Parts: sequence; C-alpha cells; structure tokens
Amino acid sequence: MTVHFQNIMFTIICCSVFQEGSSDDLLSVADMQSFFQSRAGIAQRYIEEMDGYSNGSQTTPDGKISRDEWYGYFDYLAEADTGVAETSPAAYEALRDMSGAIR
Amino acid sequence: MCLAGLYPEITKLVIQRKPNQSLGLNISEVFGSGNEGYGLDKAYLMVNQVVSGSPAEVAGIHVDDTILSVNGTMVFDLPSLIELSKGRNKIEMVVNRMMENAAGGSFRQSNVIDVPVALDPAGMKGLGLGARVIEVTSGLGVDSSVPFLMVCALNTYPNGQPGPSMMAGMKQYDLILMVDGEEVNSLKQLVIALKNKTQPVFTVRRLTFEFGNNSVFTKESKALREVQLSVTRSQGAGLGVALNEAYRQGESDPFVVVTAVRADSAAASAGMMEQDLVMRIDDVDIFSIADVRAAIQGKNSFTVVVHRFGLAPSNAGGITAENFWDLADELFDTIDKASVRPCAIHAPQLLFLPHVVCTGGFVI
Repeated sequence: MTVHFQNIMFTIICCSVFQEGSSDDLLSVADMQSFFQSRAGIAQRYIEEMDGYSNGSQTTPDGKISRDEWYGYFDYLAEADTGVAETSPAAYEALRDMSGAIR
Repeated sequence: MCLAGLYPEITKLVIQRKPNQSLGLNISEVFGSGNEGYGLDKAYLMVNQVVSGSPAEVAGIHVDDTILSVNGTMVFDLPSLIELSKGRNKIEMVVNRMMENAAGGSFRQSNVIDVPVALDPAGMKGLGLGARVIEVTSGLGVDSSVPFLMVCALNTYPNGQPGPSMMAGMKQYDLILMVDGEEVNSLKQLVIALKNKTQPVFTVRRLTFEFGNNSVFTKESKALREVQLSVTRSQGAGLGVALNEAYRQGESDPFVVVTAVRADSAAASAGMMEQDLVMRIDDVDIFSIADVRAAIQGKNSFTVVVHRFGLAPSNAGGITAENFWDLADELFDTIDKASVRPCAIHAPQLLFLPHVVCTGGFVI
C-alpha cells in the first residue's frame, strides 16, 4: 500500500465571536441590509458597486466588502489619484447617502 | 467655412474608469496625409476600435476620433498617451471628430465667435499672432475632411506678458474658420490673410464639451436641483465666469456649462459654481453663449437659474474635504457592527487544521 502526500499545509481558520455589535472588518450583505433596513435597495446598490473594487486592483467579487474595497470605491469617486485633497460631488453624495442612515 | 458637409469638431470628453481598468481603446499612430501640420516626425493618434461597454465607449469616444490631448497635454505618440493616462481614474481627452452638418448647416454651429486680435507692433518680427497654429483634418485619405487650422498653443512675450492672441481671448483648441470674413483652411492661406494686417478679426469655433453616460453632468443619472441666483454687477463689469457650450451624446442642442468662476466676481458673489448649467436668465431660455451675452447685455442686475448636480460640498451636512475620510472610516465601522448574527463560538479561537491533498491511496 502506497500513500501519496502531495501537499500538506496548515490552514488558519479564524473564528470570531458572532454576536450583535461585533465586527470582522468585512461588510457582508447581511451587515448592509441590517444597517439600511427598509432601504434595502441602497444596501444592494452599494454592495454591487463596491464588491471587488479594491484600491489599485480589481478583485473578484466575493459578497463582502473589505476596508480596501471601501476606500477604493471612495477613492474612485473622489478622484484621489490626482493627489488633490478634495472630493467630487459624487463622493459627497455617496457618503451622505449612506451616512444619512446612521441612527 | 464648411457650412455643409464634413468638418472637424474639437471636443473634450471625460473618461472615468475603475482603478487599473482598461480604457477600452485600440489606437494607431497615423503618419502621412492629413497630419502635415504636425511635422514629419509626428503622428496623430486615431481610434481604431472602441470596446463595447468600456469606459471609453461610455464616455463617448468614437471610432476614427483623433486624440489631440490627454489631461491638457498634446499627444503625438502612444507612449505619451499611455504615460499621461497611467494610474488615473479620470482622464480628460480632447479629440478631433469628423462631424456632418445637417442641411442648412444647423447642426452644431454654435460656439462660433469673432475674436479681434491686435498684432504686436513689431509685426512678424515680434510674436505676431502669438499663437501656434497647426492644420488638422479628420478621417483618413480620401475620406478625410479638408484641413482646418487649430490653435494648439498660445505664446507669451519673453517678459511673461500675454501675447496678442491670449490678450484677445483666443483659446487653445480654437478652430480658425475665417480671417476678416475670408475662409482659411491652411497655414499658407493664414499667412496671406494676415499680410499687412494690424487688427484682423478671427472667426473661430470654440472647443465644445461632450458629456457621456458616466459623467456627473449627465442629467438622467444624478439628481438635479434648480438654483436661482440674483446677480448684481457694477456698470461695465463682466460676469466673471468662463462658459462653455456642451452637448450630450447624440444630441444637437447645446447647453451652457460654467467651467470656471473668478473669485470676487459678480458671479461668485451670487453663488454661481463651477459645473452649474445655465438654464435661464430673466426667464429667457439659454442654449448658447450668445444667448447669455444677449440676455445680460446692458443689465446690471438679473436673475440666473442654474441646474446644479449632486450635492454641493458646502451643503453636505457637515461633510467636508477635511473630514470626508474620517466619516467614511467611521461609517464602515458602524455598518460592520450593525449586523445581528448568531453566536456560534463562545470565544475567539484559532484552529489549526491540516489540509491534505492526495492523489490516490488514503489519508493518514
């Protein structure tokens, strides 16, 4: 009997405590929908616009928004590549649109 | 002047893309017929293909457009174009596009103005016109338009004073149609037309803006709000704004957009802002810069109705350029903590699991 081990590695699985008020530095669809509640359309819109939108590189959408994707999205709207400390009307509008829902 | 048939339209477009996204353009360097004005060592950049759904297509770039400048710098080769657009999400392009006039020359014949230029006293020994003019055409070979003259740069005197054309209000990318009512289509004709003249009147067609589907200017995609402004100016004073006529893709009726507002001007005091669309002045509908001139001529006070896009930063509910990123960061944390999720594990743990890949046999 021959046993072939081609690859053995250890995978680190991080299990955080899933409780109300916890954070994992990723925004899921559930996070967004919970936050926006009745404004589900906005949650869906921003998930679609931000997911896979990492700053400096296009990544595959995975249903979650990382902080890099979050910054990348606003960078894009704010035209931060110009190096000018300013934001565009579109960036202000998006932030206001979202932050207006803070309870 | 080409009142019917083909003519080159000098148009500014804005391409917006995501980081590292391709523009979606296939471009060739074209030498030979049609680019004599650029010099033998220079090409012009012609668009061969526009990828469907790409940022370039959304912005309104067409096949056969000639790219004249990128982010304000004239381009004559592909490496320059790539360098100027690299790493930028927003790219301003000025293109030369062959347009066809409708019968009677009614299509996009706006933006034509007269500019009287006082040539410098030293004549051609000094700056003369004070503008670098090149011949441009649209299209290739037998399909190209007749040459037109375009101002590609404005010169200053050695002491830094604006040159004659700059003083007269000539702008980069102006297309020179006539001198003192005579058509000019080549540099040779221009030299002849200027001979022994001290104050020729140039009839030029000014650069237009074209707004694609991705622009913040697109009326359909962004909420517009109407703002009424009361403008008061002293006798003989200007309005203090730079205006440009603009088109939306596929449309022939222009609208007027504010491209700059001078500080301490009557427009600034009234609250006019860059990117405002001038819709009405004293209840007269505005479609062109000529309409603006006619509507305010001889008036010291008047009402301007503008359409303003999106949210003005000053009215953004406390959001400013200084705190924008802090608020964005805070909002991320707030949303991240918003979700109610089932408690699966009582305490944070790190589990180290062996990940084994085998080809046949079994795992031990």
